[in-house]
Amino acid sequence: MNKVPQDITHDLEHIQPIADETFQHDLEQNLMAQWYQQSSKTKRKRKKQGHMPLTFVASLLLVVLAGVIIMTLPLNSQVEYLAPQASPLPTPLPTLQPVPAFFPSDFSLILEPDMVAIALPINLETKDEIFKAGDVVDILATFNREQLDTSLEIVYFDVEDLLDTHQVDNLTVRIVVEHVKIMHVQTESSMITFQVSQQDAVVLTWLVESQIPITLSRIINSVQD
Amino acid sequence: MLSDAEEKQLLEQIHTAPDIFRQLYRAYFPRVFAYVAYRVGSKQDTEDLVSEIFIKVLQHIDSFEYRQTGSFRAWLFRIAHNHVNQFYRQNGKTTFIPLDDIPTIADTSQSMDGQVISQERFQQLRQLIGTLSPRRQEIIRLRYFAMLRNQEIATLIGIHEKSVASHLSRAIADLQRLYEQAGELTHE
Repeated sequence: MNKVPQDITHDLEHIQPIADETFQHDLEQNLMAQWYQQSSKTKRKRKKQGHMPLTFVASLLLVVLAGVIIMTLPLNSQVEYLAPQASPLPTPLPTLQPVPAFFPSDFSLILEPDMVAIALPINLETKDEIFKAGDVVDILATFNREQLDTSLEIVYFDVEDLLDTHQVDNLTVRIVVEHVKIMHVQTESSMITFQVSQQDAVVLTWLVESQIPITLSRIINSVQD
Repeated sequence: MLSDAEEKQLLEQIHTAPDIFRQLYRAYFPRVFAYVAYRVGSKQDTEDLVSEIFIKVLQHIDSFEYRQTGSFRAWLFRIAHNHVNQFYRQNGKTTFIPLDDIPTIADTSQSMDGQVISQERFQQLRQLIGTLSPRRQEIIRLRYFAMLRNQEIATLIGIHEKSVASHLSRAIADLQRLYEQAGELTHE
């Protein structure tokens, strides 16, 4: 070495590995070929499936509309000849459940740059506590690492690193997401919406997709009614 | 280098034309290459990994949604970070890389160092970075070779932006000290 290094930041900024032009060019060509292949496959798939999401939404709206008509029609038509009596309470319409999505881009609500709202099915059977919006809790998942569905490809975090970091013994993994704020509780469906970081949202959704039960631990800070 | 506004525009139209993916590839290829090269050291491994990373990016581009400035960079380098980790798990870490398997090094300060000297300095920098804690190593690589901002690094590794700044400043101080020691040793 014939030069005394002086400023590390200068060298970090200037000593940069570069690729051979041929390599960069060949990779670009390969990627473009794959882009066309992927693009035509997606088009074929879309053509085959038609407008699935629209059809689904339309069907859902029709069901809801039919429910409303069925509930309101008898009241309107019978009001003239039925003896006055207390109107039956309308049956509540089924609430649409937010389905936990796998990738952050599918999460329905972005709260701020790094925070998202995520609805998760929570196992509340073993707990006596009543959770309310505003409570701050710990979210726990304890499982055998073999239970995880490793076929679900994760590109957003390092699966093995996560499992190693949270490993309790050779088989058991315990993941705790601490100090999470509850935004909304649907007790009838055991769905609770939390405010979490994007990274935690991906981990939690992955656990749900792998059918790992998620429980809540102690209430750290309960709001007063 | 793309401006934030240009990048946003490209990402919003990513599915419409292949040329858009090409532009993103050209904009980010050098950074991904430098980042991976500093992690693995070997030219051959770097080329293999960079190819696999961009293929993965292409395969998952449908799941990416533009949210804010830097979200694509954080997403891209998360894939790169995880992919290199996976490589190490499968292959183990190689400490010695022969000079003929080191990528070409561009000294952008336009000093008159020859290629071999630049490669030696690259080796030396890699070794020094390797003495830091894993977190600081990654912060240095993401800052200087992936050229991410502190806020983007914070999003990527899941810590607060202020912690990134603090790790970065301590890592630089440690590296500077080691660098000077190494320089003194060379001249003794």
